[in-house]
Amino acid sequence: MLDFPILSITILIPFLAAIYILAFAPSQKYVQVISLSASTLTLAFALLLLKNFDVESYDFQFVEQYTLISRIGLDFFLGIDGISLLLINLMAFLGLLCVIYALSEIKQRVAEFMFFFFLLQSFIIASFAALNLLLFYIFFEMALVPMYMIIGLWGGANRIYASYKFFLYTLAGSVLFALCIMYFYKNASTLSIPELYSIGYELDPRHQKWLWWGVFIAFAIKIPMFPFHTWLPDAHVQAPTTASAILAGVLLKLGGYGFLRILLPILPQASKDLAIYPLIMSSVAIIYASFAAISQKDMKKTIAYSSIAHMGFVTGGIFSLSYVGINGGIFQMLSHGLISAALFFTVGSLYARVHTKQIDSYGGVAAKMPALASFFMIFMLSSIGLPGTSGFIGEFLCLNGLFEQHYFISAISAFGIVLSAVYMLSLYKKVMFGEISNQVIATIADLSLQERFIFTLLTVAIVLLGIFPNYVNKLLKPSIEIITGAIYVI
Amino acid sequence: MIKLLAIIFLPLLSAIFCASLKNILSKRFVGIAASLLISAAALLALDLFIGSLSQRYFVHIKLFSWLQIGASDVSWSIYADHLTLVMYLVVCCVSAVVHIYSIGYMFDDPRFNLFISYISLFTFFMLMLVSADNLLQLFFGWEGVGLCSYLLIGFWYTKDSASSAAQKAFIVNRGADVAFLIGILIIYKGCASFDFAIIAGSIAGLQNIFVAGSFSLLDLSCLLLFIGCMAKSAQIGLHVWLPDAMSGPTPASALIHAATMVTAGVFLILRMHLVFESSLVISRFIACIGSVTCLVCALIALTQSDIKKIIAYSTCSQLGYMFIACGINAYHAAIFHLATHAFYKAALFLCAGNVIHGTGQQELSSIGNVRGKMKITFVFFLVASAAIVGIVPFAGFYSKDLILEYAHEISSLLFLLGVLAAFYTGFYSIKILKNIFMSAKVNDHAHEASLVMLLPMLLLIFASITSGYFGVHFMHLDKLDGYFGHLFTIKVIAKPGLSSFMPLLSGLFGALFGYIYAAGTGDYKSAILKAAVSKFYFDEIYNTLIVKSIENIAIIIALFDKYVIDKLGPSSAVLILDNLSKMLSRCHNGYIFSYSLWILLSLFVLTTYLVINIF
Repeated sequence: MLDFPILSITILIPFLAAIYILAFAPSQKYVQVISLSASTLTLAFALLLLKNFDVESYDFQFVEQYTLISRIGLDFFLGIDGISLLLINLMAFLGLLCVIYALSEIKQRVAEFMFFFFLLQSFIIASFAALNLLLFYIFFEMALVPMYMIIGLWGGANRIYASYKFFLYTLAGSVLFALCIMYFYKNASTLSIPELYSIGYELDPRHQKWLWWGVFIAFAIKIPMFPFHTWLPDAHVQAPTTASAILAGVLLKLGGYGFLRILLPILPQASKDLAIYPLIMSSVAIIYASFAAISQKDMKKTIAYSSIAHMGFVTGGIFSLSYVGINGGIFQMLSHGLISAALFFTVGSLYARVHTKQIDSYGGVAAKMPALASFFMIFMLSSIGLPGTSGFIGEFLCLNGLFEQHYFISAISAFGIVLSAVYMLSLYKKVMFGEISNQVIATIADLSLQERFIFTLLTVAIVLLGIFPNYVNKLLKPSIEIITGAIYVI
Repeated sequence: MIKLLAIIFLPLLSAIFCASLKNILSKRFVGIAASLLISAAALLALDLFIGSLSQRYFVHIKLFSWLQIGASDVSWSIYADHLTLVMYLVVCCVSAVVHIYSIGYMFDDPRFNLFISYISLFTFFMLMLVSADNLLQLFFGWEGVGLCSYLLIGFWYTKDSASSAAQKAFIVNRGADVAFLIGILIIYKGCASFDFAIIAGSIAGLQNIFVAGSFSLLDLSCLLLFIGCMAKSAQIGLHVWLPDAMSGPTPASALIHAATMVTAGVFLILRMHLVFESSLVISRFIACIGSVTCLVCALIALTQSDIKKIIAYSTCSQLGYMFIACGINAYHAAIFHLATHAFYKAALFLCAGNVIHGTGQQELSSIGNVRGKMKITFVFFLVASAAIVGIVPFAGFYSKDLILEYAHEISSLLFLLGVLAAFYTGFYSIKILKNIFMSAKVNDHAHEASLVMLLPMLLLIFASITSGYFGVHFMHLDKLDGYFGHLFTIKVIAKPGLSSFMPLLSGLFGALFGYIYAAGTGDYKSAILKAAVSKFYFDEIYNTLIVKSIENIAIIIALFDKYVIDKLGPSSAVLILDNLSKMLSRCHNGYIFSYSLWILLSLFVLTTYLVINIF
């Protein structure tokens, strides 16, 4: 293991880049250089973490701990396991792609955009690395602010409504979470997450249930689960492409991450008792959101609802509380991170050329943009879980884990795979196939070099995960065993 | 081992090569390169096959681990036994022929290179499917061939009929895959493995758990897997996608929707025959579905007027024969018919392709008489039709006869249904021939297909003539020590006297009746034929029952989401906050008497509180 604090450096690089851009307001060209190098460097450090990660270890790694405010239990306590490692890498990877994309997409106030974007990236990585409950909460909430600004400033026509809804909805959920944190500190007198793992089940069983619901709702809104999902379609439709990609690709995963890092291991007994509720909500979400996706008229809304359905698989896998299911849930988060980002980039590329997201205004794009058609096809197929892509592994593991415990819920959820084919295929057909009816489409050009680069990288990542999932699963093994161990020891 | 790897990965190489360099290379180069690669694979498959005739062949390679689930490890593997080798031979040969044929047929299409890469990719997925040693790799191939079928049906995507048909094919198959997937999950739960060998060894666990009455978990999983097969192999009820799939290019139809992909369902049952064998009730159910499909689709075929649609329905019907064989545990007969059918049906499709290419017409009535212009195609068509009708000594005779002999042993009803279907087969086959080669209206604009199309067809024609004879007399398929003797339990049956000629006679009678009565399009008098013209209303029923209701539910849910969930949740919270703040702000109304009232009230409450506390 290296002797310099590699984890905090990974968090600091984007933070410093943001501060630099804000403080010195460099010229446009300089902003490009800084942004590209900062995001590349972040990815490099994230990969360095991956390289130096000890697969066999059951402890948190790269741990750094300094006391900040001891009276309220706030430590600067960082450390990662396999789950956070992979999610940090996902963020760093998508971060680089988003910067490349944004540099060609965003035309106004590039410096400001990059400022917010890097803040966002830094906060998200920090929340994945935080091992102090309060520190996690702080970063978790702070990540909302730059996203709120990005949607509110660079979004579509109805951006103010969407950004308010996004911000307030997720903030409201966290109120309960904050109360729970106070309870933990009062009764366990520590906010260190690893310490809470060993104290959690000593708490008063009656209170555990209430705590569980408090924490659960905060993350259920974030991920989002039915019926707390309505902020997501609005936010996506109004957000600029890169914000959508990060929102669906990484920000939603904070919810799933919260379940795995906090809810299940700290409150194992309550999780076991109450898991049936999220399971029912998950299967409802899969079917409900898939149906809702079918009749949407806006491309981004369709994909937003498909995100909700895919997150239904994640929660279904996680709350099956079986090893395979949790593994599937995490895998599906990674896979969906790549796929949804890819789909939003695709829609972004279409929007940049045709300036509408209405499905009806499209048709026959495949003739004008054969390269986009191929990439879109690959992403669409991954989204519906074709074997050989990462989507299949995630969904299959989730269903399999779920089937071990609750075969009926699993069988209901399995219908998601045909419904996803219905909405994605008809979206693809309406947009790409047919005759060209819109005159704007007759004049558009195929993908630019940057877009090709981004799409190729995403394709490679999706297929690699689909063919070699074992590598990822090996990284996750100790973390999952800790979670299942906590649940089945009692 | 190298040969096996080459057979599987040469098509993948061809697909990647053609797709990635599609904008750089010339069509001619791509066509020739891909054809060479696939032909090499076909030669290797032939080589392995010939080797296996004299010596039993079995190779099992695990390439590398794909997915570790619990204790079981799912590997990418090549499981090559005699069943696999026959499939290799069929898939690679038909694919090679279709590749070469496409150079002639598709050359004018601007996306020729892409087309070639799709059919190469299809070949790869199909080979992966038949090489699987576990259910997941099989599912990988299963979905992969489905994808290629989708891409090829929708190849001419500017036509709405093509893209809709592609979508329909994918979604129907995907729907059945839900059942298939749940079947896999049940089997995994019972056997803790996806490997065919382990599953076959541990089905007892599933057999002894009963779902309802004597219907065990094993029966349930077999049923679910079979539903998947029904969609892929276009059996009655889930066959609706196959006729529509004919809007794809004809070479693709020949390869995918006639010879290979549609037999994947049959292959699955053969691969898992030990499991299906243990479930008598589902086996018999399979036989029933097979026989109904066989008869009903043959009936529909004889009322259709589009040459490709007739052949498509005839494919459903012939697949029905294979399922009859599967259902009565005559697995060797099923694979025999699968192989012969692949050759003559591909030949039939390519002949139809020649006619369509030469005339630009697909409707029987508008093609006209092309015998004068297309003599070679005429001969080919005649041979392929003789094979499908089952005339001695053409291929179809041997395999169909074998299936019906076994059916006769089990149940005379199955036998009669099969024989009746053979009658219709003769009828619709002669109907095509009569319309395009013997009608009075001579088509002068037709032209014979080019050599690059005709030469490869020779191979299929040769196989249509000989493969039946070869199977019986060289591979001894019906003998205990025959080619499949060690894989399947083969029941040797005494040759029944008259009944063995029944299929042949019935086919001949059908042809005779067809020759006398068939017309291109006709107003049918009988109700059943009228219903058959409308394909027994499957599409209409599904449209109203399934498609419409999905659309309606989708619309209702979208509205519900917008006006109920969203209104109850965030919007009502906003409303409550809004009202609260309005109530509070009403206190600050600026009137002295209002403020003094509040002061007095508060003072009163506070003092009361204090007084109560003191005492």
